[in-house]
Amino acid sequence: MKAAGKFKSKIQLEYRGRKVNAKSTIDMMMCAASQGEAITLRVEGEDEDAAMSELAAMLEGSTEEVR
Amino acid sequence: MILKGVPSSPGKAEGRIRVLEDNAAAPHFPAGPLTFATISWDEAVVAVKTELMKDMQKAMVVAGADASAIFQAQMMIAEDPMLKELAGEIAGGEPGPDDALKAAENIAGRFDAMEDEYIKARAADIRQVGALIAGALGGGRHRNTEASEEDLATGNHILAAMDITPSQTVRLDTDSILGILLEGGTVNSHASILARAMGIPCIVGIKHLLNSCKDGDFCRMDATSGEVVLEEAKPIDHSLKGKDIPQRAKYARRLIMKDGHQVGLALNIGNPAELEKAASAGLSGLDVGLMRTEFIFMGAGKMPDAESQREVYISIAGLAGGGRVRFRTLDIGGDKKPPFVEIPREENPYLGVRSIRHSLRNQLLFKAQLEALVQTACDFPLDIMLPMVTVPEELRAARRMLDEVIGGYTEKSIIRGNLRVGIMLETPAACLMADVFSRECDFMSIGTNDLVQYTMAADRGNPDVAGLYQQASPAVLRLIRICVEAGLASGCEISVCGELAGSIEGAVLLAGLGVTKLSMAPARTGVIAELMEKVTFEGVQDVAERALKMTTQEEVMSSVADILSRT
Repeated sequence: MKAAGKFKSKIQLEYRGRKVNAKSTIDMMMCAASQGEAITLRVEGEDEDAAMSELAAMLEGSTEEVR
Repeated sequence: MILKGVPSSPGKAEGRIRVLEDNAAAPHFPAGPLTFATISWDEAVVAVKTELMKDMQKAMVVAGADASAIFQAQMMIAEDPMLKELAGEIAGGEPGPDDALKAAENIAGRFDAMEDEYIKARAADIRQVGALIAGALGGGRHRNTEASEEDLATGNHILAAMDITPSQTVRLDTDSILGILLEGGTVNSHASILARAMGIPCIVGIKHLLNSCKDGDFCRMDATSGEVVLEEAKPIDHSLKGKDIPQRAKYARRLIMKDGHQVGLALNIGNPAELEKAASAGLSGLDVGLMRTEFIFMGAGKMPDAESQREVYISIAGLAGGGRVRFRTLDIGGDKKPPFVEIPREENPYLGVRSIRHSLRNQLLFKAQLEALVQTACDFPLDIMLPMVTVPEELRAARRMLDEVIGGYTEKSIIRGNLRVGIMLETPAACLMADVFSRECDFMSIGTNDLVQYTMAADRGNPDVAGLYQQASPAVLRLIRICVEAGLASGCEISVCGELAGSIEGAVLLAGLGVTKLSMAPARTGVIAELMEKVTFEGVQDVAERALKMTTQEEVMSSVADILSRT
């Protein structure tokens, strides 16, 4: 959440077919993805490359940041 | 009548019922007549975050860092783009107060239906934040549905409500609210978590509570069994009037650890009324570690002369009942200044003519204060404490003026015997030079509020940088350690009189760092004494030693939380 907030790009997670705004705590909590489940990360905007590499690394590490 | 509920914070209390109605935690919000916003959504969010930040700072002190995280979560919800978007969609344009409420209710409703208990419990946060934003959007009109601070702060009461918000809970005056009864709520709701941390007995889930009691009813609550006994108030019943309502043990005179190690305890006092209140609570005879003197000046239309100041100081020394009073000389500038004082506009008031700097530039004013204190010292032993000293020259200049004043009296030896002179350590420069100062002082007292602000270069009132205002940052702890070591080497007493001393994590860390005296608001003495009973000196020393080597405040806090959870 905090990590996503610093990028200008639109950042979306896709989880069980539902699109989630990664900059929204509320949206993220509603999706409440637990560790070990598959998530698609979609980034679109001027700083998309930086955002993608940082966030992807984080998601691969753990999803602790989500909560 | 006897009701039963679920105890969520232990303790017993007796008092008069004070019903809190229509508060922000109630699921249904009365729609205000105002439907158009007076400020924009983003402005409202800033206003709400500022309020929550204040509550978080308060929670840090009265409930500890863990409990204060509740407000951090609410701040994140307040700035959530989803809430803003939904409110905009509902409004079909700039959202107004009602749109904020509807958006929050819509989202909270979806959370209610979630399976995960943690997520489910966030519904209350979303409703509360929605209400706060609605309040801000409506120019505060929705605010009247919340109890005003004043409402909650008066009298000796047991609060009865459907539920109360975290903000309402931390704003409770623990001197006058002896217990909390909630018809709603759960053991893990925010109100319960905060009540436990603040040491206020609380019972939740009491069916029919609000239909069974009214303002003024006599109530006895036992938050061990969950039993609530209510006696209806009769207007002409005098039998209850003289009834002696026992107080909870929320004051303490000593700080003694489990292993018998004792830490000195003193009081922070802002005016004579506070001192009187402390004395009537059984704290008479304790030292006053910080006696602020601003109250004499702030309300005055012209400069109070030495004679009128002397009367006040003598009455304070008398009220202390044998305790030694440490008078801090006029600490103005920055954000506070009396009406008769002219301070030229400064670009950066907190780095400008404040405190001792002001006193040394306004010798007439300073001399009158020293004169009055010296006269008081003819009859009472007392300390003079100079605030915000940065360089030794300031201490020396103040001492020269004091010597001049004392030179005018025939009772020189009595005065010198009664008087001790010291400084507040509030700037990093003074802390780093503590060894030098310690040789020229009788005592030094660390003022953590300003020390943290100057060390972290962050204003806690500014929500954008308040996160940097870290009272338990390893940087701050290392400075404090330098001061303690200087004190040990020279035999100069080192105490702490900032907020940190009366906070849960702070008291543990400071005692562990070797601070021998903690000065705090009288209302904090009970909580801190209780905390000290649970730890050993070896244990807190170990935590403090490790904290000095840690890299972030977060690590420090979790290590303190860890030792406290093991007790």
